[in-house]
Parts: sequence; structure tokens; C-alpha cells
Amino acid sequence: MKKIVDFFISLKLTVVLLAFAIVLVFVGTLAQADEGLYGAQAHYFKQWIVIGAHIFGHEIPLILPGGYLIGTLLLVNLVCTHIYRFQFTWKKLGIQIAHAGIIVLLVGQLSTDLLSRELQMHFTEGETRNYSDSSTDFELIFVAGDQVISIPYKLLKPGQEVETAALPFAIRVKARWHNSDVNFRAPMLAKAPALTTNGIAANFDFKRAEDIKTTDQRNIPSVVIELLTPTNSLGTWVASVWAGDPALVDTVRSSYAQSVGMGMAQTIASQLAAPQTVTVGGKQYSFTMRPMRIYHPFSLTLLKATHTVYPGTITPTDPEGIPKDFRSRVRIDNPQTGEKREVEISMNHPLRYGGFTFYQYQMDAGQLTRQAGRAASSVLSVVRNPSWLTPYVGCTMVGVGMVIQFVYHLIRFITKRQTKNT
Amino acid sequence: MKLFACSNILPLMAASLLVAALAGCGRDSVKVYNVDTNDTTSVPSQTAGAMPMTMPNGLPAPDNSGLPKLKYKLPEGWKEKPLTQMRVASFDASAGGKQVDVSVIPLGGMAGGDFANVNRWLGQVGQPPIAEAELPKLTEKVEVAGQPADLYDLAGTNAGSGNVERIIATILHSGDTAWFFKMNGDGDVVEQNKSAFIAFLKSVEFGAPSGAAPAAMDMSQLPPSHPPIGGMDMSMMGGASMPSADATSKPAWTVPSGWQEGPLAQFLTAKYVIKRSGDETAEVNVSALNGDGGGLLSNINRWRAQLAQSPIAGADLAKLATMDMSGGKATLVEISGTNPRTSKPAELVGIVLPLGNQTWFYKLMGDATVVSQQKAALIQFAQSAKYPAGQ
Repeated sequence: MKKIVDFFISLKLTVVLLAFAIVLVFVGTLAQADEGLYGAQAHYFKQWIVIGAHIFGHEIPLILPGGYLIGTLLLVNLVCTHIYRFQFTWKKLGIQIAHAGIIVLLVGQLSTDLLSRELQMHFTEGETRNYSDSSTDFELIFVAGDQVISIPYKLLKPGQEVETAALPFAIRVKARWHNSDVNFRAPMLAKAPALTTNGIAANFDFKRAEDIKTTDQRNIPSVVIELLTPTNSLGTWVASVWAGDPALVDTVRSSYAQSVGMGMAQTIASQLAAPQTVTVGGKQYSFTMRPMRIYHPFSLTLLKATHTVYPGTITPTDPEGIPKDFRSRVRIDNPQTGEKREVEISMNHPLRYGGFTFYQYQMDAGQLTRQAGRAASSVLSVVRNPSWLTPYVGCTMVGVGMVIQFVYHLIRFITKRQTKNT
Repeated sequence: MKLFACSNILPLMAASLLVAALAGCGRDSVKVYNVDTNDTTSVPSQTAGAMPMTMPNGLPAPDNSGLPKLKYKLPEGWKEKPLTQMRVASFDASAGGKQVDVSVIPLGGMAGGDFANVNRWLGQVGQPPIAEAELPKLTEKVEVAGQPADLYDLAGTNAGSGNVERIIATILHSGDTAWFFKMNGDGDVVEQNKSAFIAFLKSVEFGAPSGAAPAAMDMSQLPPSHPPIGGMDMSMMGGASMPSADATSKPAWTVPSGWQEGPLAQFLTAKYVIKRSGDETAEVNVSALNGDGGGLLSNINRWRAQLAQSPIAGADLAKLATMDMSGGKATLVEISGTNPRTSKPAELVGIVLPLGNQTWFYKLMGDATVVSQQKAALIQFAQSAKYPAGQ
């Protein structure tokens, strides 16, 4: 037991862990060029053991402790040392507080990682939303009447079946693609077989695409699923975020509109978003895949989206001008508290409400938008981070601890010198 | 001063980490909740159930005004469904909870020819193409609206889903129009509906034909990433040199190393991109056009214009080099000039191979240094091509 305790309170362990942390941060940062921001985060930092690294297009065979392992061991090391080694004396008070601050930082980071959510709220002027969508997580939903059954994308593992008491059938995942492409199957030119002739796949080809590694694009997943009752198969369908995310259906519409005209593009878009349904026991279930949706107990209505530019910067070569300000005026409506008020959200002035922080994120409300006849719209970045205060608290504790330690030594030094002089 | 024994601390910390981890895990479980469909703020706006069942307002209905009106007797169990795309009739036929799709599409002219369409359908059921001589073996004779027509019953396994797919299709050539009656979907359900389909064909009547072909989609305007069009009626595409019906069936060839497959633009059978150090690039485009593809001279002069070079005269064609390829003698074209967009030196190496009733074009174009390095690779690539049977 003593050996274990000695191991965990040893300063050598701290040094080794910090050295590994330096290497991990270095490797993880370089690997972002190959693996992308989110890929590198998952591979190096949100990981217990890192096996192999991708740097400059090469696979490097290495084994490193991952971010979780280093963080946890550092935390254990720090807490044990705190308790075993340090003494509650005035002499050590500053060090105690600074170390406690580091513990708060470590725990805060862990809880941020586990508990925080980053979502988005899209709306055009006049629209009301009581939910936000995730930009990284997706869900397969089945809707029967008012009931929504949401199956997280992460549970849809290829070759496996998902069963839930809420559905009278099982979902067998035949294929799952983190990123996919969609292409319209014009009636007389399809040469390869459709993945399935049910639902949207009859009119659209879906295929696997390379995973996106940059942060300005995102993966658009699709799954090929077979629905099975205990006695028979109901058929095979493709469920895709291409069809379930209104913003993506709009993208498909606009990209086809440029080449085949708005009429045909509307037809293509409406077929992509066409309902896919299955009827079991007289109950109809419609299903699609979409960004994970989180409902709020309150709603926001976008009253006005304002995009102002610096005067005189709109020129024929730069019709958008230089942006000066993005601003969304929203109305909060909370039926539980009866609260109804208007708030303005702008850059650096987020709205903090109901445990969420709403930041101004994107906007389509400039002069060009109005000229093109589009309704002004705004996207808010919605962040929920219950431990958002911990970095502030931790840093303050470290700062205060260091100041106390410095002042204590300063006073002792001055006192000693005065004593010597007298 | 020791406050606690460390042995008490470790389980405590492990427990708190576990609690934190469990708090984060809750998001990865199946959730069931209710939304109030009367409350517009909470209706999942893009769930399948909330989607319009018919086309949105403002959409043009398919223009079938020039076509004879189709009359038929609807078989039992079939359901009419909204018309989309080029369909003049559309049905769902079902059995055992599974559905198959039945469509009627009229197209002007020969609509790409029966052989090309049958091979396209074979592709749709995951079967390899057949030679033209084998086509009569697949043909069954049926009657549509009192006229003889050909029926093809094709089945195979879908490589994607593993399901048995079957297509029963009938082509009726009537006047200037080819009528396609097609039932496709799950093998068993198609089998159960085959007799109903044949009865449906017999029941079809054309009322007061005007003789005009339907208004066609302007397929020449498809997005660049769209696959090229095969099987379409060539006259509908408004151009002189249209891709052959089988332009998309790639020959078997050996792709040189360093060539990366690029996005297929219209009429291309294959496209490769070659990138070298810096921003030097070149592209290889392969296409097959019907007949002489517009003529050797006009194509060479079109290529010369792409490198800002003046056209050559017909007599100059005799000076061009020729080379032997698996399909016959090809013409080798080399043009040096400048890229009008970047003003950098650019080169083009083209190989034009007449083969059967088609002409194959291999074009390597890009920065001068890359093209001169890759010329030999292009020739080897073109010589390695083995063309599909019948070409």
C-alpha cells in the first residue's frame, strides 16, 4: 500500500505526466492538419491511450497516454500530494491555494468535456424556436402522431440491431457512413442499382464520402437500415441527414437551381425531403435522420436580424461591404415563468438564459439577401456549459495563492533584513 | 499532518469521476418524448411526417399536354400516386407489406434504343450487361393497347442491400414516341404482380393522340457533378455531338500512378487530375461521342482555341501523327499555347480514336511541364484501354 501511495504522491510522476502532456499536445496539434480539429480531439485528447499518430501524411507507430489518462493521473497525483505532503501552515498557505486552483481547473475541464453541449438555433425573421440542433451529433427519429422516438447516431452500429420498447420493430443497420454524398437519379440515366427502391433512395443515390477534416465543413451522415418485425422484414431504407436537415435540402435546391432551373430544383428538393413511412399494427411511423435536437422549456422568436456594414464599403467588386455589426433582436417566451421580454444579441453580447448561452453566430440579412428576395435569417450558437465558471475560479485561486506565497516570503525577507540591520 | 488515508481518497475520486461520466453518457440513449403538433414552435419541421405529401406550391406540373391521354384499368391493389418527373402514370403495387413502383414514361424518338435501356436496367438489378445479339433471348412478346411490344423480365441481387431486385419493363414504339412501362422493386412482390402488370398493359388505351413527344427536361444543364446521361433520346439534348448510349460504361484500363480520379463533368466517361509540386496541374478527360463526334478538324480547332491558338486548315490534318491502339488507328494531337486564364504556358495532348460507330477522345491538358512529363503515361493509358463488347 505504501508503494502505491508513494507512487501517487511522487513528484517524479508529476514531471513524467507533464512531459507526456507536452508531447501529446505537440503531436495532437500537428495531427490536426491530417486528422482535422474534431478528429484530433477525439484521437489524442478525449482518449485514454493513443495508438498511432498521423503526422505530415505519415502513420507514426507510437503509444502515448491520452488526454483523459494524463488528466486523471495528474488529478490523482495532485489530490494525494495535497493531502499527504502539504501541511496547513501559514508558510504553505499560498501553495495550498494555488494547487487547489489547479485541481479546480482539471476537474472543471473534465466536467466541461462531459457535460457541455454546443448547439445551434437557426431561424428566419418572425420564426419561433423552442429547440436547438447539434452541429456534431445526429439522431434517427421515428415520429408517430405526437410521439418522437430518437435514436442517437452513435447507437447505430453497422451490422447490429437496435431494439427499443417504443417501436414495434427492430432497426438493423446495414451500412453507416459518417459522411455521404447525394446525387439525384434522373429517370433515364441511372446505370447502377439503387441502394434500395424504398423511399428517397429510389430517386437519389447515396454513397460514402471521405470524412471532413476541416472545421468550415461538416460530415453529413447517412445510414442504410432494414426494419424488422419478429416475423418479417418491412424493407430497407436510406435515412440521411441530407434529407432530414432543412438547411441541407435548401443547399441541394440552390445547387440544382443554378443548373436545371428553380422548377426542376424544387421538384428534386421536395423528393429528397419526401416522407418515408412504415405502417405497423395500423400505426404509421415516419422517419428521417437529422441533427440531434434539444428542446428548451422556453422559446425564442427572431424579431429582427440586422447586418450593418461600414458606410461607403459596398462597391461593385465587393457587393457585401465590410461588416460592422451583426445583431439579432429576439423575444424570450417562457410559459413556465410567464416571462416575455425582448433581448438583443450581438457580437460579444450573448444572451445567458435557462442555463444556455446564445451567441450571435451567422447571419444572412445583408443588402444582398434582401435584393435576392430571401427572408433575413440568423443562426445563434447555443452553448450549455454547467462548469463555465470553473476556469475563472481556478485561475483566481492560482493567482491568489501565488500572491499570498510571494507576499509571505517578501514579508519574511524584509523582516529578516530589518532584524539583521538592527 | 495527514487528514485522510489515501486508501479512502482513491475510491472517493473514482466514484466522483464515474458520476461525472454517467452524467455525460445519458445523451447516448434512446429517448422518447411528445411534441405538441398544434404548437408550431415545437413541431419537428423536417420530420418525414411533416413533409408535404405533394409538391410545394408554385411547382410546374409535368407538361404532358402534347401527349395522348392514357386510359387504363387499374389492377386491384394498385394505388395511383402523384406524378413526378417525366411520368404520365405512377402506381404503388403492394403485397405482404412491401411495395413496388410502377411507372409509365413516354420519350420522343428511339429513347436511346432498346438494347441500351435493357443494359441500363440490368445494371439497376446488379447484373452485367449483355451483347446486342443476346437481346432477343430476353424478349417476351406482349400486347400494349392492341399493339405488339417487347417485355423484359430482369432480376438480380442488389449489392448494396442484398435484396433480390426485379424489373419487368415493356417498351412500346408508337409513332415518334417510345413508351416505357416499368415495374420494379422487391423480387417476390414483382412476381406476385406480374400478371396484373400484363393485364394492365393490355387494358391501356391511347386517347386522341397529338403525336408530339413530351416536353423534355433540359438535361444538358445538369450540375457538373452529375453523371453523364445515357439512354436519353439524343434529339432531346439539343447538341450535335451527344454521348453515345453507353458513354458511361468505362473501358477497362490501367490508370497511371499519380492520377487521381476527378469529378465527372457532363459527357465525360472518366476524369483524372494530376498534381505536381507547387500549383502545377493537368487534367485528363476521356469521352466517347456518337459518330465522328463532330469531326476531327472541328475538335482539334476547339482544343487549339482552348490554348489561344489559331485554327488549322483541313489539309493540315494529314501532317498529324497516328498511333496504333487496341481498337484501331488513332490520331495523336499535340498543341502548345497559353492558358488564357493564367497566361502560363500550357500544353495539350489529345488522342482521337474512331471505334465502331463512336469516337473516343483522350485529352491531357494543363501546365506545360506536367503535360510533357505525362504524355507517355497518357499514351500508355489509352493503349491499355479494353473497350466494352459491341464497340
